[in-house]
Amino acid sequence: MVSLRIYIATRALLTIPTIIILLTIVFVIMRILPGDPVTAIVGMKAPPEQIQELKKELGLIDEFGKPIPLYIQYLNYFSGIIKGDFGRSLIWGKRPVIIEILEHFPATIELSIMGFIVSLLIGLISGVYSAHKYSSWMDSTIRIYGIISYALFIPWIGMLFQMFFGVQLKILPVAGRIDPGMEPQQITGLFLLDSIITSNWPSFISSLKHLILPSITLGIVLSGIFTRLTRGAMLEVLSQDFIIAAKARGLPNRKILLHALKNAFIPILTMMGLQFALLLTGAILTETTFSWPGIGTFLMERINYRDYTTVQGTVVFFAIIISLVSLIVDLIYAYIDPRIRY
Amino acid sequence: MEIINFFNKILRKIVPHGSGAKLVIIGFSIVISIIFIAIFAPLLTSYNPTKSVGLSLQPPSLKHLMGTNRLGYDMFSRIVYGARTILIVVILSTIISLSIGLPLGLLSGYFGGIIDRILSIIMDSIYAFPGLILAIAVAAVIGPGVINTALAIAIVYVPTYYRMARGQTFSIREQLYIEAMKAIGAKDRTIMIKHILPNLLPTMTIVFSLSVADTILTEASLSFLGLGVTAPTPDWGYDLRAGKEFLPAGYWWLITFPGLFIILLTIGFSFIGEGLNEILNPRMKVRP
Amino acid sequence: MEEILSIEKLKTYYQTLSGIVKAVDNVTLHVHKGEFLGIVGESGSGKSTLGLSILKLVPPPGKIIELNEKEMQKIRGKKIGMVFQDPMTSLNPLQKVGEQLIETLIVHEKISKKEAKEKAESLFEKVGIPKERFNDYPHQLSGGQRQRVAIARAMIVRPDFIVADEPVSMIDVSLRASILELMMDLKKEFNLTYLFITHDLAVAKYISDRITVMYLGKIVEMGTKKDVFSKPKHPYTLALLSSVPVPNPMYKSERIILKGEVPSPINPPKGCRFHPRCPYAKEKCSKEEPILIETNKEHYVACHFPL
Repeated sequence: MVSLRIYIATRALLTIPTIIILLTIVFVIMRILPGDPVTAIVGMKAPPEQIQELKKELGLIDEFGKPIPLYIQYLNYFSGIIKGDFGRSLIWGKRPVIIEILEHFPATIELSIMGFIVSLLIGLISGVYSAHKYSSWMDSTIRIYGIISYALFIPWIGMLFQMFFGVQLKILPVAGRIDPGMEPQQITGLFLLDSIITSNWPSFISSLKHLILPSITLGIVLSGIFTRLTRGAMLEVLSQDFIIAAKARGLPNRKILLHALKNAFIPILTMMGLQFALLLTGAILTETTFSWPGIGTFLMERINYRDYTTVQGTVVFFAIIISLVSLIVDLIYAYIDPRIRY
Repeated sequence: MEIINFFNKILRKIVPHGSGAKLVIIGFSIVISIIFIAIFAPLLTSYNPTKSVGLSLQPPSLKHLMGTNRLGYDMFSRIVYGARTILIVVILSTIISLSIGLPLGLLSGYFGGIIDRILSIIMDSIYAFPGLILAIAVAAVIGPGVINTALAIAIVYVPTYYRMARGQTFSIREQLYIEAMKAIGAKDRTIMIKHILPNLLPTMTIVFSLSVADTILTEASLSFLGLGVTAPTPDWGYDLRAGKEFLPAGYWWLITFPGLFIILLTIGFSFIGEGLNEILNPRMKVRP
Repeated sequence: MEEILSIEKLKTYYQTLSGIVKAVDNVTLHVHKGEFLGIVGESGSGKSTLGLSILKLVPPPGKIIELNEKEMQKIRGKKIGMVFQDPMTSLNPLQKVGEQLIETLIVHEKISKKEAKEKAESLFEKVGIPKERFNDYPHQLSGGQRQRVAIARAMIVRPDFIVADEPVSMIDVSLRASILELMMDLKKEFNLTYLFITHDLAVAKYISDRITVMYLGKIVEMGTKKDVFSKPKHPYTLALLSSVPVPNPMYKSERIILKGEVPSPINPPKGCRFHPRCPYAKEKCSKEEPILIETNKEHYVACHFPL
């Protein structure tokens, strides 16, 4: 029985090699893979001074024009990240990458949270219902749903929603995060929250309307795994003695299912943490489909502009965030699960 | 009548009862159908998917079953030839992933030691990272195209096959008394190939089907984002991207069919994988 | 004697992957008010299923209580209570023990939470659990205390009838007597009727008024404790009794060892279900199934050649 403290320490330490490996892989991808970024950016016929300038910015040569060896590039890369320097953009105002990332991230967070809530609701309700009506045709249908929901290609589902609700019925917006000019005062960067805090109700409504279709799209696709997990966990719990004992006492079904759900929650909780990576992936696709100004659209845009430093910085950012979230989830799980607690 | 009964009996012997078998059969039919469509594409349509047939943005009609797109390409033939594209990418990337991941996993699980430790932590790190983002990063650097897309995607799934092979090798090792075999003089290589490898197959097929399903979505995502297969090669994901801008104008046929087929092919492989899982790992439940 | 529960031709079959299990096969039983009816048998005899069927927790096609699920929910707990074998698994691990009693009370009676808490606490005292334990979780209590909680929980709505499925089998032998005494005290105080299911004949002997012996889903013998224990008429009963240790060093036990094992309830033997293992089996036994007939007053046996 490993004590909680030791577990926290080991698990936290384990994150470090993971992050190092990921960052190394990103470095390998960006620097070592074939594909000459310089020509890609400025073209074949660029004047040599421009090429030199660019190479300096990319960190390929130092201020005297001498090429920097790969391993030193690697060290520079790492030391930069540790200091919070993710490089500078190659375009426009050449702003620090990290600043631009943080500007676009809240939009993605807002979308992800809403999508997550939708997926959890759909998953829990369908999973509980499916377990309750075990072996019925409804159960089979929900099980099939659990398998195919992830196959529902996000852009397609999103576009279908856009066609129906946006174009046909014209009741919901199909693009963007909010009607132009309606942004609330920026406190957290999450429009819904900010508009509530500042009591800006028109802003809240507009923000909500724009969130509906993207969140539902993202939520539906990610709900399948929750459906299956909830159903499985519920079936396990429902076959246990105390459920039969509860029925024997005449407790109504509602209460029994609720008790069962509470008992089934631990495996569901672990899955929630693992979903974060999928959430991010899904968010990128959702953002591109709905022109949602989050970090996904940001990444794609910069790839288009061949802004390699920003692209590299963004991917590094993803790697670090995901590792940290996974760490936090593991720690929370360790705290809750009694086997590790005692 | 007799013949039907006879076939029924044989079918029952080969195909076990239960929902797993049903899923596999449905999934298999879907996949085989699409493979046929891909192979017999020229027989199914006379149009060239990369040449204009004249009128652009035509809704579905008897002449053009799925309409035409902005450049006047026949959508039906783009679907039919698009099947080839996606299958080529998927087959190519899966072959690469398998040939790297499986042997490494097998060796890692068999010999253990420091190499196993190092490989594991690398593979686990990649595995934890969202596949699409990794593929995006690689594709962004090496550029678009069928082969490049296959390469970008291949990297994503190496850890999946590695982990499966390694995990399975571990558990099979326990059961097979490797020491006993070695004592009789069996060489490591023989043990691995003749004994462990065949036992990997059942789980392998499940992981394979489910990974292929995921690969299809990754390919479609990359193409949709503009980083995968690009014009003029017929590709379902790419067509989704191209058709998107015409959504507000109501040209529904540009995206409905490509998306439908992406989902169909994915479901096909998912069903096979899930169905096999039901069959090989059944869950016992007693009901009054 | 007044009847509190009447079971007629009950059949409870389970559908499993290997076939249909005829757990309870055509059982007719009448429970007298105020008695301690013991149901004994080995595992697989169907005794537990019988208990569950009474509460219609396992929907039986046979006839016992002609009520639908909604009405059944009103009766469960209110008129019939149930105590299970393993108190660790029959109590909700995530709910405080006192809460579990309060919850049952509130579902059935229209009283305030405060009132319910008072009732629950007083019942706790009555069953012998220290007051401080009221807000504990099940895993914090000892095995004996947990079972007392389970009993209290079954009792809280003052049912008339309690089904107890192996209530002391998982309790330490040293504590068993106290639990059994608690059950008997409660019976006297609240005028209860018990259906007591067990495989342990010593326990059944200690506590029951009447005994019913089951084998592979059928009743093979039924009668008063005195009759069944001192004058058993069915060979199976005799064999069961011979395995009960008697605390008398002078008593020479002739253990009757039955040949073979309990057959699977999916494919029970033809004729009398016990005949393959019966030392007295004759040809008739493999062909015809014996019916339960009254041999002496209130003493029933299902055997072609009763002892």
